[in-house]
Amino acid sequence: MRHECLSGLLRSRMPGYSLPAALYAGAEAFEADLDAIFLRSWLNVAVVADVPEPGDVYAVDIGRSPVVIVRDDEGGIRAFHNVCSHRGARLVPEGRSIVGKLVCPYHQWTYELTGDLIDAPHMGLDFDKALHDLQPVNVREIGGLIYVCLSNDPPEDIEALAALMGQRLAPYNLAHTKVAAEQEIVEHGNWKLTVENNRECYHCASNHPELALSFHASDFGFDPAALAPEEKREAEALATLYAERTAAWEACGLPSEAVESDVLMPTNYRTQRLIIAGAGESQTPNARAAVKVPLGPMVANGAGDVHLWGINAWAHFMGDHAVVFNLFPLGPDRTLVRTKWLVHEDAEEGVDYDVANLTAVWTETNRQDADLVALAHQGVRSAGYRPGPYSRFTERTLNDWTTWYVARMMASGYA
Amino acid sequence: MNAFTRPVGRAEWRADRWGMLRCLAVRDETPSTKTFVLAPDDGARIVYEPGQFMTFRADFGGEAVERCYTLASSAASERSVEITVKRKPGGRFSNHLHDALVRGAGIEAFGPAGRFGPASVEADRYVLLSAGSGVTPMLSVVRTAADLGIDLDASFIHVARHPREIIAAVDLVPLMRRLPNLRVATIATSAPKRWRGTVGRLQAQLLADLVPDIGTRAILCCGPEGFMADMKAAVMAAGVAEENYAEESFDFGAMEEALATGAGPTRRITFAKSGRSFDCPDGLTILQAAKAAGIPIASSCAKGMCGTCKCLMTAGNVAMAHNGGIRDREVARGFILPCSSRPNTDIVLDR
Ligand code: FES
Ligand code: FES
Ligand SMILES: [Fe+2]
Repeated sequence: MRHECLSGLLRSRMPGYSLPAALYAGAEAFEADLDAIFLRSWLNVAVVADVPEPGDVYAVDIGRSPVVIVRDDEGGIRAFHNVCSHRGARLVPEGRSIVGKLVCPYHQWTYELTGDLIDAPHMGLDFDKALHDLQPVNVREIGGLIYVCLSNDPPEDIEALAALMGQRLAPYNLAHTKVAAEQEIVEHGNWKLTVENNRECYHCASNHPELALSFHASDFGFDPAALAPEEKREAEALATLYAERTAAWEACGLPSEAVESDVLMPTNYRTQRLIIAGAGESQTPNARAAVKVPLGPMVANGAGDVHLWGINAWAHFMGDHAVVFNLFPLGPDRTLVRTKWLVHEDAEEGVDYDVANLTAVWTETNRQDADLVALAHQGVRSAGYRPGPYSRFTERTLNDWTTWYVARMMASGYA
Repeated sequence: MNAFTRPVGRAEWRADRWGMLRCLAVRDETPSTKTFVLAPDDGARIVYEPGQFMTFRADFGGEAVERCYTLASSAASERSVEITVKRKPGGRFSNHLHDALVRGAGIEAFGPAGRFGPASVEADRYVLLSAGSGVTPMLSVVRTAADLGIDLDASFIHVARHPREIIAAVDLVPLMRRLPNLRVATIATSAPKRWRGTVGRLQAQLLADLVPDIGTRAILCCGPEGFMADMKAAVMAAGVAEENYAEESFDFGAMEEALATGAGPTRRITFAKSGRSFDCPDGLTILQAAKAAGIPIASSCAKGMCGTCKCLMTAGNVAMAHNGGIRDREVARGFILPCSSRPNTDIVLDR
């Protein structure tokens, strides 16, 4: 019954239009999303700077499934279900901590950082600890981004993303970064509205005056007919500049061309090296670098902004810092967006960078986006909502996104 | 893959932390002595020298008790270790092993550690002197030599109370075939009439008869305190140099207790936040002393592994021997595990 209802909604989606209301706002669709998307996809949930040293652990909640990421004694990255094998208590609190071993706060079952159960007091000498190790979670580090997949059958197309981004991110040395600032914001809207809002810049000019100083809104499409002659000349000049810059970047070993995953593949992403507007250095109030220590020599000057988006994340990698956004669904109408600003590990706060300056643009932009997502969610709950048309100029990627979403739901048996 | 399959990519067993050994087999040596064959589940190699011991730990109603046993096996076989344990009347650890350490059961182990045996006393010729369970390091010495093709020139003299209690007696015959310069003499303090072996006490004269060139040999001695004292006096009188004599008590239990009741100074432990303070007598951990004083500290493993007791030390200095429950960088910031720390000075904790 449930599936029939969802199935009908998924099938009724019109190409070129936003989704039916119940797919955004309904509790049933939310449950199905947790299952079909969040339990089965590769998700970027952390960065290597979250667990820089052996004994560092970092816990996140993916839907209702707590996961802990561990830097083990050999320096490797592991992930486990953050759940004790005894009676299921949550092991590690959310966020970062340092541990000797992973110890359950309930009855102190003690696990090695490899997940091996090494102590279970009062269980008897004949108790076979080897049968009660922590349950591992698939984990991949790609250029310093940590991806996990809760499925036992993780999508194999992660290899393509690994090859692509491993190379693109290498010059940014994320292994030698630290988290300079972190912010969490709970958006009052469905996670898919958060994603849609992130994937278009139709709304940028009017809503993001701060971001607009360093970001070319037209990067994500425009209708030439809607531009004034002056704007049109600018757009054409930018297009020419893109062709030149992209060729120049590629020539010096910085892959830059736009690459998008096939819409029907499970692991969804897009990346491109973007030209930063204005002074051209970084997404800061004056578009100048916010950090004196560059992330790496190859990108110290004029290497633009590598943007990456995925199923639950988006990010910008610039010469002086990176900013990584991860979203976590909390409910049909609540989405956690966690933003991390990464700087070189040697950069000293107050000397090499000022946190307020570093975070200014995206603090404002996140707030503005949260408001827009809330407005969108209020609308989809209304009796007056009808799926609306995407612009073929500025919202082509949203049509791809909803096409991907419906395909994933169907592949998971929901239609 | 079965028990015979060659292990691949085996790591080395970590001698510096507690780990789990599984009992693969148990065999009877004498009516009161069993040998336990133990190995790590992951096939890790246990690397050691003959004469080293491992510490074992078991839980007795919430109290963790530790005992050391010398490895009796050949150090050449890194795939498993053997300990040979006599069931002592009223000895709760040895009784526990005899009763509960069955094939397939696990036991916590630490080490190998210690320095005793030909690796630490270098010589061309040896005398191996043992009594009772003190035979275990000597068995490891001769087994290792046979497996590694070491041409061991040794007189191995073992004393048992009764022929029935001679450990590994039948194993020594084939070992002598493989070690042409090994001579073995077993002596029983008392024996039935028909027994053909030597009966009596091992005294200076008998020792001189058995090993005429004793003055040119290095002596490794293991057994009860009285036996070792007698032997030491005898071999010194026979002209053995001090540095050529080494002994090892096999009664580690007694040794441990001797350590814990040291006569060093008592230290004052103060909890800065609650304002409580108590004395920590020499040899006790801060956790033990707190318990004795009726002051609660949350703890679980009491062996430096779980980190439950971790707290910040704001003044003082401790000797801490933990099992991985705390990181070096936490120690650098002043954190300690009270369950694994003995105070060197008066201590202030941020509690
Ligand atoms: S639930 Fe974790 S130790 Fe009991
Ligand atoms: S009680 Fe486990 S480390 Fe102290
Ligand atoms: Fe936006």
